Amino acid sequence: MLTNPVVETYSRLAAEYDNESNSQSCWAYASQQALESIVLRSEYRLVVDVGCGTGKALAQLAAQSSPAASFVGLDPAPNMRVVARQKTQDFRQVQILDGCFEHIPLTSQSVDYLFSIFAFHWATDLNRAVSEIARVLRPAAAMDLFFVGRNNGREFIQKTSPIFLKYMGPALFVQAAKLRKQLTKDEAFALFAKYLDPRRLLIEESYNTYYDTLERHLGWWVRIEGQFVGIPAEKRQQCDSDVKKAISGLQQDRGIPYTIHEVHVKIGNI
Amino acid sequence: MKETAEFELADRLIKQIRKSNTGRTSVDTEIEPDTDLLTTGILDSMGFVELLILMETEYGYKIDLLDADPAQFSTIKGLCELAFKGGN
Repeated sequence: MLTNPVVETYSRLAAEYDNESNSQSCWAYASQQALESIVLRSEYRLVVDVGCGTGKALAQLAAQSSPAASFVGLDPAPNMRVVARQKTQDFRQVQILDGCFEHIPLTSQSVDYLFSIFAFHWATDLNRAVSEIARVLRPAAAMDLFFVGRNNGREFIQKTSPIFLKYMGPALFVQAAKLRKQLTKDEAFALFAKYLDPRRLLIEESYNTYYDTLERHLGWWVRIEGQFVGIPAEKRQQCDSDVKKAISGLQQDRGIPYTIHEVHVKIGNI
Repeated sequence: MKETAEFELADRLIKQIRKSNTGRTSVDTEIEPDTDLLTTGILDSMGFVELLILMETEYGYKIDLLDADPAQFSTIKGLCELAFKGGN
């Protein structure tokens, strides 16, 4: 039985995840930038994408990789796995499995390269997640984890948090916040250094502000919808309307700003 | 007596918020007991989670969130009232 509202919501919305509005959003752009920074080496035999979602990154990487490499995509949302299997069906070397950071269904020291694009912040148990990553990586393995940092989306958060508090009430508001694990750069280093060789860890962070229209910003709302399932149905419409009004208030000449704080945890090749 | 304890807790929480990195974009905002921590951007929802954990684990005050009014919840004064309402 699924009990994680984020996983449940991603599964429910899987069919519309790659729709035009999300695919053209700032998050899609940031995801593509992360994907394009990945360089697969010819000696990799097993490449893993944790939180593979609809399998977009896997399909792109598999299309340009050597035939000797196998790819495994993990996602806990059943319908995301269905879409990911469809998207990667032309690539026999890609396998989509039920899994997540805390439960990686692979043998110890089997992975040559592990990556994840904007999924790690949904981990439910950070220590277990990193210990699982450390377990499956080969001693000389490489890794790239891109995830949402602690100071992400400040513009929207300041405007929308009072509204969510009003409609959710304090208990649900706090519960929703606990679903995300957004780390600072220092917190990320402290966490990963507990389980992986700190001499091989490289933690980078970036702040990129994207200006867009209200409609296009709302296009990526599907990515965070899981946090709002607790809002009573009868209040949801009014809550959405208040949120749109608040975000519209951020309008500048260039558009409505949204700053993505990205943390990148990297283990380079030896 | 209760008022003094509430005042002391408020003072500790304000100092803690000033010290923490959360809300770094609003570090210049003056924090008073009745400052709305959300609308001013001093804290975000995760900042509240961190503050509640601190109140419980470091200071021994547990807040019943189901019993809390949203307006009360977003100020230091309200949080302290809620902390003492719980019979702490």
